[in-house]
Amino acid sequence: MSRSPAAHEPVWVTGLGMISPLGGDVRSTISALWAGERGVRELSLFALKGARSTLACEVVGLIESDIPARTDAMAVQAAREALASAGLDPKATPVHLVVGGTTAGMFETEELLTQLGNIDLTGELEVRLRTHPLSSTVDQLCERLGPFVSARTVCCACTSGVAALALAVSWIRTGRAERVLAGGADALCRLTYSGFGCLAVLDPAACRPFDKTRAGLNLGEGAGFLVLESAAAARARGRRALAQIIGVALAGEAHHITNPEPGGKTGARVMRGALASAGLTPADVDYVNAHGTATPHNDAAESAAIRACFGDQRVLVSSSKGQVGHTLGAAGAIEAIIAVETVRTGKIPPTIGMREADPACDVDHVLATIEKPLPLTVMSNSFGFGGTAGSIVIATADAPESLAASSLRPAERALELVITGVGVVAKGLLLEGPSSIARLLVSGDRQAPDARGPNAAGSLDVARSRRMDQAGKLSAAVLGAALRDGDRDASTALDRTSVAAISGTAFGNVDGSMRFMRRVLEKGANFASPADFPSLVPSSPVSHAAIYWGLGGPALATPDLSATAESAAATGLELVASGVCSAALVGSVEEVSQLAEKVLAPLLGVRGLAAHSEGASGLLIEPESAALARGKQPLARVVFWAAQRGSAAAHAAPPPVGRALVVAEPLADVASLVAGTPWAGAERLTTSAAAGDHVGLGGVALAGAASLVAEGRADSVLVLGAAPDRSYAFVLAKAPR
Amino acid sequence: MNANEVRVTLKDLMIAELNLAGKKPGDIDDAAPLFGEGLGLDSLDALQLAMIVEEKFAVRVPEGEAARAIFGSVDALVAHIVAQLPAAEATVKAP
Repeated sequence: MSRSPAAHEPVWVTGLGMISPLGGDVRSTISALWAGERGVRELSLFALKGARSTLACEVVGLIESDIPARTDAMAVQAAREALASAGLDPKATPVHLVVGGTTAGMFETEELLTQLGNIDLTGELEVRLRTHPLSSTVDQLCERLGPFVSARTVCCACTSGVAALALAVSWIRTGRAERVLAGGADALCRLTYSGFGCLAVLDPAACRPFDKTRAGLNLGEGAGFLVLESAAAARARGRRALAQIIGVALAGEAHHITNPEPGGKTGARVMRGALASAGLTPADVDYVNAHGTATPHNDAAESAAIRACFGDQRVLVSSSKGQVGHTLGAAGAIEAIIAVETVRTGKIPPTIGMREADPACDVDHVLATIEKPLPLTVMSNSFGFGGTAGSIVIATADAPESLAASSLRPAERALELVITGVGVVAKGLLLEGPSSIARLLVSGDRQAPDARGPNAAGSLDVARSRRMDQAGKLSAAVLGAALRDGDRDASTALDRTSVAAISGTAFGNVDGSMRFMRRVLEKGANFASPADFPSLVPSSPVSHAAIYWGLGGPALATPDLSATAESAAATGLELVASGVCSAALVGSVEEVSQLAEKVLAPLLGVRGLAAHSEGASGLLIEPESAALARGKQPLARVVFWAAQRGSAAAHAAPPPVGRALVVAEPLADVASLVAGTPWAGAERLTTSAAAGDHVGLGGVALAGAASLVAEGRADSVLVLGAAPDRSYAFVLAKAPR
Repeated sequence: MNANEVRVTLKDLMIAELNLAGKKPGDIDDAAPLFGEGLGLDSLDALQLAMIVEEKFAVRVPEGEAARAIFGSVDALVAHIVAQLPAAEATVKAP
């Protein structure tokens, strides 16, 4: 293998941890994988009347028994192993955390949701219900293994694990973090089991990836975590690399909420993107660990994508799903660990379950473990609902004698970022552009001349939005407004090929999950609704928006209680700054939900508001150079942002320049967040009553702050967001003209 | 339930369950293909429709190739339901 000079500082993998249906740690899983063992068994966790299958890949060797949610317990066990194998103690050395997932405490809460109102929520039930939001997993990890400097939750459907790794790599490449514990975790639950069943993608027998007779996937569960470090940080504490992550890419098909795009065009694009990010050509890759779920659509589309990316360069391909099952949000992390073990040992794992290759899956299949000489370079793919796609390239660690040179390269210079478009849904009205949105912070008057926006959901084409639930419609409407605002007065419209959509609700689709589970529990899994299931994954609202507007970047949800919008903004800034996406639409979307507001919010210490309303926000973020190149005058420049556990995010913010404002959603304790900072004496503003009352108001504060800067009302603005044990700070300033 | 009653019920179900907002039963052509052109339905709608037909009429729609003809048009789906109904209704009514 001849590798051209890496485009970026290599990111070292220095620790691994995993629990899977093949074993409770990395060693047992990997040896079972090489031996061709299968984790598929009769499902024992629950029984579901009318279920399409009775098989699943349940984890073995789960020992963390005092943690309320199974997903979180698996995450803690795998993360503990990863930290130990890296010789890292977060109490002594700063470590950041990012976790991908789709269900968190769904298994523990899905039956409970259907009984709320008829039961007393006390004691054990209360503890269980607290695990419902997706951010439960990072909160458990912080409590059990922390402190962590920052903790991010990402959901990108079944690409969540790769998305978490891509974000961690972005942080290290741009110098935002030196060490990150990154991974994914998802437990089996009735909701996903009946959901994948009703979509007719569960095989009642053991699955057969790439086989002529393949008939669907086997659901699995598990957790995988990797400790990633900059080469310099790892060397500073005398650690060697197990492997290095040299390329990452995320994309979206913008095609359909469940069906993969035929032909695998986006799959090929994301694989090429990962190669470009690594500075490699197809000839440099030895093996692809495919997503390979064994559904008829996925395997044909992915095979076509591999052929399109690799062309005449034949590459070995296998899928681990026949052994591990499809572990959803954990899959990308578990398979990245498999890739690390491959490039470390030279052993390439097989596809188990395949007997006769489908001609539509014409790639070079590995049917039994083979051994190749080192060094090796491996690509690992993930795809998911909404057309999410992610690819990561992992290579054998450099030989010790060549380390000195590679570890001296400085971190990639992050790009200067600007906000170029804003949109808000306030009490049902769609507001577009800075002049109307600035008023939501100042006067509360939404009757500004250009503020007579259409009814938010009504701004969408009826036929094209028929599949969207309310959160999907609000999300599509508000991100569309930000997109249009971003193109206003520009000489060239934004190229949407690599634009990310990042948003989501604080608590997930609680009401939708309750209704879905009622049908399943009352009538049987065979009456689960195929139309409703895709809307239950937290990334669904942004996926709908990405499909509607043809956004070719990833669709991510970043649930973080009442700081979900702030988390989305930070994630978007980080992915654009590192070049993973060319631009990002970020924001919040909240529907009216009695369950979320009256039950979950108080339980999780999220302070409630007087009268709840729906609402949404959207901001377009792009590199300053890109905005200026397309003749777009930015609204504001983003000069600083921080996301932290604890309440000190504002403490590293640069001091104000000129007329300064501090902006926050109404319930943030601004005085204590800015105490001791140069911003303590600055004028303060919060979103007005006209913006609505919901936990996503942080996004309105951000859009409003950018608008105030654009309108010349402030020279620099500190935007603050907070929720229990997390805080966010952003500094916006006048953009250069 | 005769074919006409099945047809009326089925079209109402389609509009509600497939979120065909703005469509009226009269807009759904009895003979036109359900999927692709026409109503613009796809395989996800087919799954939802099959589930709803089973729930409301106690008639199963087979999966895969066999479903293709049955989902060919409203007429074809009505014919399938009516052909399966007597047995299903008898089962339901049995003490």
